[in-house]
Amino acid sequence: MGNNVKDIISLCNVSLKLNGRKILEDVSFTVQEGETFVILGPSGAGKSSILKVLLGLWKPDSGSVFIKGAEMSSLNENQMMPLRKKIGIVFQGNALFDSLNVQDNISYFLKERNSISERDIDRRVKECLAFVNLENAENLYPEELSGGMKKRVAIARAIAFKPDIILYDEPTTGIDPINVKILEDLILKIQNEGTTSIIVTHYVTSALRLGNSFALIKDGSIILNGSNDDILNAKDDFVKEFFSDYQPDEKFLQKVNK
Amino acid sequence: MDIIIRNKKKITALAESLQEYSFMTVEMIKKVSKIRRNKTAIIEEMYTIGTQSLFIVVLGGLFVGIILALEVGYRFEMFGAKTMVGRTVSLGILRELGPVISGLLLAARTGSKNTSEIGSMKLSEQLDAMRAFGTDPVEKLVLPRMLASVVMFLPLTLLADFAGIVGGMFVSSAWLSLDKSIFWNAALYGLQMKDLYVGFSKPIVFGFFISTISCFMGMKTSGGTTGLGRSVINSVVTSSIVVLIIDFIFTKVVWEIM
Ligand SMILES: Nc1ncnc2c1ncn2[C@@H]1O[C@H](COP(=O)(O)OP(=O)(O)O)[C@@H](O)[C@H]1O
Ligand SMILES: [Mg+2]
Repeated sequence: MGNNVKDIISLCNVSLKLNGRKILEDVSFTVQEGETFVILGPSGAGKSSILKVLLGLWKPDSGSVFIKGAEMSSLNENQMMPLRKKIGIVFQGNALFDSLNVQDNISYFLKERNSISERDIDRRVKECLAFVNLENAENLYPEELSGGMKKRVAIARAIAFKPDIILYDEPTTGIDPINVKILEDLILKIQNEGTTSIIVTHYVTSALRLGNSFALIKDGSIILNGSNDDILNAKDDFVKEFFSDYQPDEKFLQKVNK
Repeated sequence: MDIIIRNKKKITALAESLQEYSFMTVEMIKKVSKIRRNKTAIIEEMYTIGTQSLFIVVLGGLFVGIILALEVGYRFEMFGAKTMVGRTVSLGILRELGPVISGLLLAARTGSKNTSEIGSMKLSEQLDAMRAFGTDPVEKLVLPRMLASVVMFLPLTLLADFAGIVGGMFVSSAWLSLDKSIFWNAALYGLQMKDLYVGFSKPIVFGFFISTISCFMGMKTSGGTTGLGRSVINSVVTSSIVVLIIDFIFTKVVWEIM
């Protein structure tokens, strides 16, 4: 693993303990360039932890993480910086800077890259806000935004510097159905620009709509990894139960059966 | 020995914190070359410290001066040494009480602000977001706060000193019927360069430790709002104790070698 040229991300046998508790155990998967990889699983399964390990925010106790061929745990914080600048993330709780307004939140990380001029930054912020349909929110502060709007600002911040990879941590959890649709459409629009995506979610419908490749995680271990055929036809009881609420519509079944 | 064994956990935790604190401080010092890039943040912090702490620091200095003049004045009057009040007040304030009282008030004022700000950023994953997007929270948050404190604590302390001496003068003239010019003459006459060195270098050192300790406590925050409360308390208590210890070291050691 990690050698395949098309693999942009790969985790090999990653295990993680926090305060003596096992959080992740022997997690392995690979994500190919341009693909949308969905991590499914119940709350507390370790989905967010996988993203933190992937970004090097948490060091795994064993195993390795390759991003674009570089092994993360062999790098120190400063060496990870250039790699991280190619990855955008939408945190589960958004993690917007609450002391900054929407415009400054989006431009914050753009300004960190010295080479961009003030004018280009402004232009890019406007572009991103238009992309997420929030043209008039520039001067609002995060506390003045609704849940769906915050999420869209977080997405705008993540795509502002045109990352190669984007990670979404439960982008539609706790959001009303109309906004879920809006957010899913946004994610699809970003996918279509060729960005490799990892989406963490526990909504099966979202997952199947957005992803090409799936992993189901339970208690810190991956119990299933494959395409949508694989997960819908799995024999495992937990997998069946997890997908039991899912009612695939006709169009989708036709697509799968083809 | 027994005490050490019984408190082994606490002692190791303390040693670990000290180690982490040193690492953070070293990281921060390595980033001092990035001052120019963070100019705006530094100036904003300086402005905040100046405007928010000026009032309490001056008030603290004023009252210390008044109380000192009264206490000393009544005692000295018994020995007919009233004319010495000015000298005792100015020496006491410039060398000891001005810096210590200002240090303690600033530990409470700016220390709690730093810890609660950075602590809530930690809890809402804003620090993780900074790291995830390839910026360094130590450079962006700790460095500006440290520099701002180191620069601002001295003028604030000088204003407190001034308020204290002027307060002492008015009290002596009003209640001890001591002529103002006699007070001033005595106040300035006894001063030596080394009094000023000691009195002026303390605030700078306090600024360094108060800011780094409070930022460190913020970055270490965990455990939700209760944890944040605990961090703020720890931060104020620790920096206050450190202020007192440094003051003692200055008075004893520096005084002896100079
Ligand atoms: N900072 C932390 N310290 C200790 N344990 C944590 C921390 N964050 C999460 N955990 C634990 O790790 C497990 C997995 O958490 P997480 O990855 O957030 O799950 P998910 O995102 O799938 O809901 C949970 O049991 C959680 O209690
Ligand atoms: Mg999560």
